[in-house]
Amino acid sequence: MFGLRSDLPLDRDAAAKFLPWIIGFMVYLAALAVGTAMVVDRLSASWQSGLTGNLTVEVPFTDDIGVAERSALLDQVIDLLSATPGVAGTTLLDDREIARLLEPWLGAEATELDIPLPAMIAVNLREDAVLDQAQLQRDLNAIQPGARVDDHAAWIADALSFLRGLKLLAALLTGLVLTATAITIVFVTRTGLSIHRSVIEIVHLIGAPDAYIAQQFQAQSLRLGIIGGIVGTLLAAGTLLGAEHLLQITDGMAPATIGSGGDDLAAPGLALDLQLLPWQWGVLGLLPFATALIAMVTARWTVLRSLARFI
Amino acid sequence: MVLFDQVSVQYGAGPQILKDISFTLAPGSFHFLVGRSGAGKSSLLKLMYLGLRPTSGLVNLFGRDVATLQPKDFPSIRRRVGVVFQDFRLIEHLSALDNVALPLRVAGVREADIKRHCSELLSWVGLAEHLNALPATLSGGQQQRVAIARAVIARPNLLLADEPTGNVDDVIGLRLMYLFEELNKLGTTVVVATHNDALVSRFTHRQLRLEQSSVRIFDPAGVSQPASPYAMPTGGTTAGGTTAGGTTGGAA
Repeated sequence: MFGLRSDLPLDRDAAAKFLPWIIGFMVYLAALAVGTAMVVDRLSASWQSGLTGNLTVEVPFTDDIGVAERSALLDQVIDLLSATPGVAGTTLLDDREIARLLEPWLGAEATELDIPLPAMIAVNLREDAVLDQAQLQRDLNAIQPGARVDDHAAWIADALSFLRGLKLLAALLTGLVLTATAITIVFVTRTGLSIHRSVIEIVHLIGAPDAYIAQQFQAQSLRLGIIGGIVGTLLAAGTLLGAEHLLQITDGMAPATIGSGGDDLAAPGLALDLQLLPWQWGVLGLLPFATALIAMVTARWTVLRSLARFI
Repeated sequence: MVLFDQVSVQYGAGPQILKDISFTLAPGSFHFLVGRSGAGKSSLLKLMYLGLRPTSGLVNLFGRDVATLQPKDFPSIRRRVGVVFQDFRLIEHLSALDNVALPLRVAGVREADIKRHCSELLSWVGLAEHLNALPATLSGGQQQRVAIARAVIARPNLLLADEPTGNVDDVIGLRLMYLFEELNKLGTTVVVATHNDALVSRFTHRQLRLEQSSVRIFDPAGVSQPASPYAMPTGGTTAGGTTAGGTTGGAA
């Protein structure tokens, strides 16, 4: 299959010389799309599990409530939450945490401003907990009118919808790239058949079946597909690693944002982690071989189909 | 082995190249195919190596009616036919050895055996020093010998040679004819198309003479022809069809 000897001088064809570059570019795009899809898939799962296992309780205070009274109200709220079935733990966000969350909108001195800020309580739920959120909301309002429970449902729905769209786009792009690769192979193979028509005729007259001729084209497509595929995948791997590295750098420089750290108490599980898992790198590693296989099968199909009309 | 019955060939709307040709070639026979340029020798050979379909009539090769053959049947029949093309039709980017090896590779012979057989045969035709030479670096005569070696390497049942001695000197020409005779003695049916009357006259093989789109059989040895379903007067007389069988072998 990988034998260098060929009855047809296919490697000399101009179109064949460009084939590894074309396939490399196609595989680069496909690898980026597949890599993105896998990252998005993992983000969807982690965001969903992270957010569905958490609630945020917001307790507003008016100016006329003193510090001691505030503290008492918050204790009541925390007691209520701790006594609620399914709640694993609560964390009252301190001023520093609140300031970090508000920094993108109000600046670094957000807590120093003369504006009423609500108290925020991050609630961790037990796994598979079923919470009566309506009852909890009523109980909270009984303690402090205006207090509300945010289960992030709307945010989750929007985020997951966005991620689903990204995955669909990646799948579409991958499909388009592979289709374009197959079409390129068809074109190059047909060109080769046309250029080497006289040699093919001789080989035919000597008694070679169509499969013998197809084997030479498919071997070439497989070889060039693997070469181009490996180059494209390596470049894509470099790009993905570069993007991840860039994100880490900007993450360190940027003010606090949702997802900027995995321990965000107000929005736990929202880390924007672009790292691929080992098995996902394995999937990317298979891409050049899958592409080469598609190239080989396409070349074989093209030759057999064309030669059927040759005689 | 080969049976033609009322076979005609016409290219497009042009004149008929062959007209109602009928003859049979018995297994192991040796024939010269003679006739003037344009008489249809190459077309007749093409019909025998499945390079052309007849416009009308029946062509039967190895007991198979060509008209009923499917494309998948062609390779197995073609592997039983060795062809020396008038223009050699060597593959330019392959060495002499690889050109000769082609029929064996197509047949799936082991590479070690291929190298040995091809080297021996090329040495026999005087090209031992040119095993790795590309056709473009060989003279016309050398290319012709490579073409002949390629045609006979797989010991075909039927050997068709179109002007195989056209580019070689008399000594080499005779040597090649002896090679054909050796193959013929081993059972290969041989048809040699040639203009070379001197060469033909050196042998006593039967002659298929193409004249005015018809075939005429001539037996220099004067052996009477066996009857056939298409039998016509033979032995130097005009024949719309005849059976030409048996090995007459041997140089005159």
